[in-house]
Amino acid sequence: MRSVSIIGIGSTPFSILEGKSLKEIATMACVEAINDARIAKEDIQTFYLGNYCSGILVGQETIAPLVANSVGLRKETPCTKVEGACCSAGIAFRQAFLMVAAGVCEFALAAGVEKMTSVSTAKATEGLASAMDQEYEARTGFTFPGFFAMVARRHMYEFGTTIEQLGMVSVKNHNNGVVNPRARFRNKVTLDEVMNSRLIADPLKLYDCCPISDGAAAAVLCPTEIARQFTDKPIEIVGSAHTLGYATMYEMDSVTTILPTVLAAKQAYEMAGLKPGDIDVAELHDCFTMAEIVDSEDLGFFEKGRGGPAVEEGLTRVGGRIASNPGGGLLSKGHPVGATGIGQVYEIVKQLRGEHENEVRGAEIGLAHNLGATGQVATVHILRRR
Amino acid sequence: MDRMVDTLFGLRCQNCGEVFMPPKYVCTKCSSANLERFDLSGEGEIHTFTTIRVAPVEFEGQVPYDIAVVKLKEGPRITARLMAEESRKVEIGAPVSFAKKEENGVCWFKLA
Repeated sequence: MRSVSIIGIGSTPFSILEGKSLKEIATMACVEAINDARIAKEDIQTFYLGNYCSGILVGQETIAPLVANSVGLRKETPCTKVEGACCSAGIAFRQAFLMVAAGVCEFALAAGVEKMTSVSTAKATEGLASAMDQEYEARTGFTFPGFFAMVARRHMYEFGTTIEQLGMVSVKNHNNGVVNPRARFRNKVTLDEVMNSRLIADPLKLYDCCPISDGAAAAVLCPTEIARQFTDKPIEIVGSAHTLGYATMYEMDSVTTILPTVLAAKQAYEMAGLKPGDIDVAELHDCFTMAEIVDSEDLGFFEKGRGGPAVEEGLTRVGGRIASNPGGGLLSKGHPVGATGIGQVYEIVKQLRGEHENEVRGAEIGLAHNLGATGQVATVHILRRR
Repeated sequence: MDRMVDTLFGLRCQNCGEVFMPPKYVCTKCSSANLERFDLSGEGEIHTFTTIRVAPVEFEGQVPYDIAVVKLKEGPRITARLMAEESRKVEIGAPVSFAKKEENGVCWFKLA
């Protein structure tokens, strides 16, 4: 496999994009990435589009050719939608990476998109719940907040993690989102506000949960050996992994470890020849406050059970040992499900280019961790400034 | 697979002995399709739990409701509904017993 770099990125704001269709926002993110790469759209030789449930949410399927035609890609271009719930874009990014790495093509476009705010919260919750096993677990009335609520209860029981430590994740990530123009929420929240927000799935409260959002993000990839022809700041993909977890909560060996994250991290670190301590900045999958704490342990940043105290000690703040979600994370930036994975890559690329609004000074190596459904799938990508 | 009966059962692989909760079509260890039902005692304990307050459309009329992962005495776990009871405190480790099964297979437990 040959080395691959990112030469262009694009993103809409992750927000309520009223009056803008799924096709429109995906198109705008793709065109921005192509222009950022300073190539022509005709140069793109393959296109992967991550999306979770456009059929349920906006009644639109077959969206990869739809968006490709809207962008104006060549008719010779293979276009593929990939789906892995909240990990859809992470998978799309990896597929584009593999196609360039394998030498199948020179320029690949990866994007992710979700349009969620045109339906009611109950309808969106139903759409999200369709990622669960409909033959049993979904029939119980299980939800995503319910999953991480049960992870939280058990994590608290086993390790003494506190509800305040969960709240501190929300405070930190909202604080990070204030300066990010792509973030849905750009206001700070206090620990009191988090603690006093209404319960969604006990013990998780409203501010422990990421907001339903619209958004799209895209990236252009090419071989590292030619990347400098297009940008002064190519960002190399030094680690890439995509793994399988359990399809149901009751079958998980441990409900306080998200196995696909552990497995993907191990593969990605090995591929990169790096270890957790080498990572300067991370965008990790904080769909709920509990998730960020578990992720930080499963990615090896902290020992199992130490993720809560680490937040309390400020180790995950910008300027701390491992700056986590300086872009605001899903909690503040928003979670347009099928776009999130490349949204994370976008934030890391901005950091490594030295262009981020909430800069982690001197960051050379970044990590993007994308998790799908109730821990059914994960991707980890490690990016490096060259 | 008969889900209509009001008993709790698991599936045991007749080739390698691995035990599962239904539905399962082949043994994920040895790939044998020879899985047979066996009765479970219905006794277990709460492994973790939550109260759902924002629900998917078809469950909106039921909120708030409790869901738990129950660890059964025989080993396997199952995601299940908890019967609403005011008198006992739901907590991790609390003993529970099988209460009923819905037609769609969803299992309900009550605090023992």
